[in-house]
Amino acid sequence: MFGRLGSWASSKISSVVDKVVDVAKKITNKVIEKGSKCWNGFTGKTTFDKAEQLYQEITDRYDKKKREYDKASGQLIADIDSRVSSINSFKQDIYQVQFKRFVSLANRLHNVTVKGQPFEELFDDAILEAKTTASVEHRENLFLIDFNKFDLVRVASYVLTLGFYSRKKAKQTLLKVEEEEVRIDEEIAKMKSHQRQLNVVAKSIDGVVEYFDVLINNYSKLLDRFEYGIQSQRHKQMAQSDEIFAHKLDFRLIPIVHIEEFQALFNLSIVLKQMANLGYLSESGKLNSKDSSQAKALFEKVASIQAIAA
Amino acid sequence: MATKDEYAQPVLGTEQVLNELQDCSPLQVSKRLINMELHDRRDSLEVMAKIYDEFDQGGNVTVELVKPLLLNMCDGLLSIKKLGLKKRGITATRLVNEINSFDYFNSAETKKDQYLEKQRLDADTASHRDDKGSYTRNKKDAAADTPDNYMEDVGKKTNYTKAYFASQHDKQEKLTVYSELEINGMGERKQLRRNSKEYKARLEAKGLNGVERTYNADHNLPLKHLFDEYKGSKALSVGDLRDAAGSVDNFDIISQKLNKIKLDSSWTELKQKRDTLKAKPKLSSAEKQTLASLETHVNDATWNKALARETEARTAVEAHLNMKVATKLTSDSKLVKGAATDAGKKAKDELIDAGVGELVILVVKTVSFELKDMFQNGITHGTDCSSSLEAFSFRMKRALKYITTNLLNIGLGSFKDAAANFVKYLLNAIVDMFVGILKKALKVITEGFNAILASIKILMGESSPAEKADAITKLLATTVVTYIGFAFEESVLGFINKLPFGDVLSDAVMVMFTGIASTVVVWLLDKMDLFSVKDEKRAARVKEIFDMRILQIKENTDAFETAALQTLANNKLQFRQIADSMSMAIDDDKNVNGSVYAMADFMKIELEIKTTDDFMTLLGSQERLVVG
Repeated sequence: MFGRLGSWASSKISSVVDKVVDVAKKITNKVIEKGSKCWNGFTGKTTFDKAEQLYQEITDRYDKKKREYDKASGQLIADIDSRVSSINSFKQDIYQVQFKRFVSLANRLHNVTVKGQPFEELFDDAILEAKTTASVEHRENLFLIDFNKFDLVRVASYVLTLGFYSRKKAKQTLLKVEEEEVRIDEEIAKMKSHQRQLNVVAKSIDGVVEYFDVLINNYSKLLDRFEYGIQSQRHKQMAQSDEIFAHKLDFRLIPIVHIEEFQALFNLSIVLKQMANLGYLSESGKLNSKDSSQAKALFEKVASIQAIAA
Repeated sequence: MATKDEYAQPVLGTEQVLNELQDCSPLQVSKRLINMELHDRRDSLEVMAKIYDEFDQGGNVTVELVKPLLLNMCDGLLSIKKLGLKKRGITATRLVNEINSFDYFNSAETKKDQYLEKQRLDADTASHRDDKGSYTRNKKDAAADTPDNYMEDVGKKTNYTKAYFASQHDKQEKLTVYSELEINGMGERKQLRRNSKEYKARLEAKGLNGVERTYNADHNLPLKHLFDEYKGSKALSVGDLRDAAGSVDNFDIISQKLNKIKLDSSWTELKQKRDTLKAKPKLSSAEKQTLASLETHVNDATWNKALARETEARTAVEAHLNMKVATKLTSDSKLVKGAATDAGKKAKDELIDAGVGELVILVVKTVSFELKDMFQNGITHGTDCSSSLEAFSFRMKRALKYITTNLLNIGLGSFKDAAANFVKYLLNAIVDMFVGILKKALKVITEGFNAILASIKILMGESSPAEKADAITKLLATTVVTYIGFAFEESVLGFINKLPFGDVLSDAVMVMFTGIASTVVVWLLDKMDLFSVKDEKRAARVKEIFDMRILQIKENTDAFETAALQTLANNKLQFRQIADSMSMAIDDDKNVNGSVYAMADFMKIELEIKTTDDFMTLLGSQERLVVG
């Protein structure tokens, strides 16, 4: 009976003991928690933790943006590249197919030559790529103190300086990381800006492709029309003359409509030639624009006046 | 510090981009777009490094330390009383600072001169000491016109003794008295006897000393001591002091012998006397005798008990007196009124002095600004006048106008100071009525009054927490340094007075001493930068500059994008219209030349053959047609 009582008592006691231990543990944890909070505030570790967190955040943010930017700009540059190669093939087509046809057709009326060669633009990524951006500074350059490395001397120094030293270092660290954050923001802004710029460039190159496509198409249609006209005139003039193969068609005898077609083709050839001789991304290849021809005219005028004066 | 413009990004506007793109052929738009710069080529690291450089430059010891120290010396010389400049608040430091920082758009703020303030407050405190005449112990010795001015309340002493004996119930005890403080060699209370002739005779017959065993009721804090220590309070009469001296806690039964040794000193004073005698290498015979009797009659246990009782007595007496002061302050309106009148008068005197000083500084700084400006930048600089004479009169008028408009400000500023001073002096007067530890505690408030006011001003200001902490630390440091300076005043002045012209210099030396000390302390604090104020400022600058740059990049990109997309859309529309009409003309067998010219025009390509007639002429010339 006593045994039972004893075991009852002992179980009661042990549960009480457990409870006491439990409460004691809770209190100890609470004390440690509060104590460490106090200590961290005193040494500046709280500030340091904030700095660390912010550093991690900006590193992640930069890396993410950089990845996104690299991907997007890579895609844009690839797009532009493919546009440039189609422009190159248009240029080849203009000389190899369209001009050849025009010259052979036109030669039946009048001697025509086309000068120059198509300018093949060699695509260079460098003109589109941004200058390499400066990534987040190394941790060592920003962190003036490291609470993660435990060092007895250091802890002693915290206490001896009343925490002033470590608090100050922690604050300076946080400020430095905050400064780094705005610097990184500038880098990100530059990346975004460049991406938008590339996007616009790609659109404008798209437009150029369209110019080539549509104009070549029209040119070819006009050549068809001209060819048909020339053929019918040949039949006409053949009926009137014996030596049709020896002579060119006499432009004075053919209707003005065909002369106008010839004129349109001639002028359109000049336009296409200019387009084929131009570089669209690089500086090479110049347009004979109005300005330069006006300048040339002016120069000739001046030269003639000087000649008269002399 | 460099201006923000140095870090600014180039500005790109929509208009600008539109113009540039419309000037060129649609064929060249891509090239133009690539070449447009939406931000400068400066690396962000480079910009950051430049801002750091800006903040590292400060560190000129001459400007930071040597100049203020020299000015402190001058302050000292100017403060010689005969010149009368000091009380007007005119110091070299202030003059130089005011002149250097003068411009017509700001009014400079007056800083409190810690040393002068402390001096004035001490003078104020001294004036609050009440004159209660000389010490009179017995009622019968009191002067005829002040019959109440005596310290010994015989009735209270008798009451205490009676009460003491009334507590002794045992018959034997009524004969034997135990000293309340003295402990004999066995650690027991010393036995004393009631004062009776037959007992005395009996003792003497045995060859024992009657005096040694006779009891006395002793004032732990002697009447004279009490009178001297507390007579300064204006709120307390001699009667009040007498009442306090008669507090139960101030009485203890001790042997007559000990009472004779103690006389008018308190236990603390007596102990000090013993310690000095003990430490002294050579004693006169009288001194030897005193020390010997002290050593025989007061052992360590007695000392401990006596000193503890003295503390109790002091607490009781001071509590009694302070209560009295508090009651009087609330009930006696004349007392407060008198203090207020005094405080008002002092504040007014200071107002006049300060006002005159401010006026002098106002005139000096304005005129010297004009003179300096004339010598440095030429007489016509910034005046929009062509002739020197005209410029000179312009300058004088400007200075006069500034002085007249700012007179009011001075008046207001001085009045504000006067109001603060009034409060401070009134507080000081009231605090001086209290006694003992309470008075010392309250003194902190009046002595630190200016510091407290300034701290509140700083706390209410708009700076960051770190800047506030920094400013308050420096303020407290200078206040403390000034007070420490005063603590050493006697030893320093004692030395100075021995030098030739010491009496004249003594005014100057303390001012220099405290001035230099606080300059050095503030400089050190600044170097240490406990709250990282400098880093905070730099970080704020970094943020400001980068925010500005980032915003500009965004704005430029927006402008660029808008203008470019608009141009591209326009071009596309134009091209399609021309190309469509060209295509239609081809299909419908119409004249295509119109749309060809339009296209060339659109692409800004010059065609030499302008008309069909031109073309006909060209064909007629038999020359080869060249597409070039």
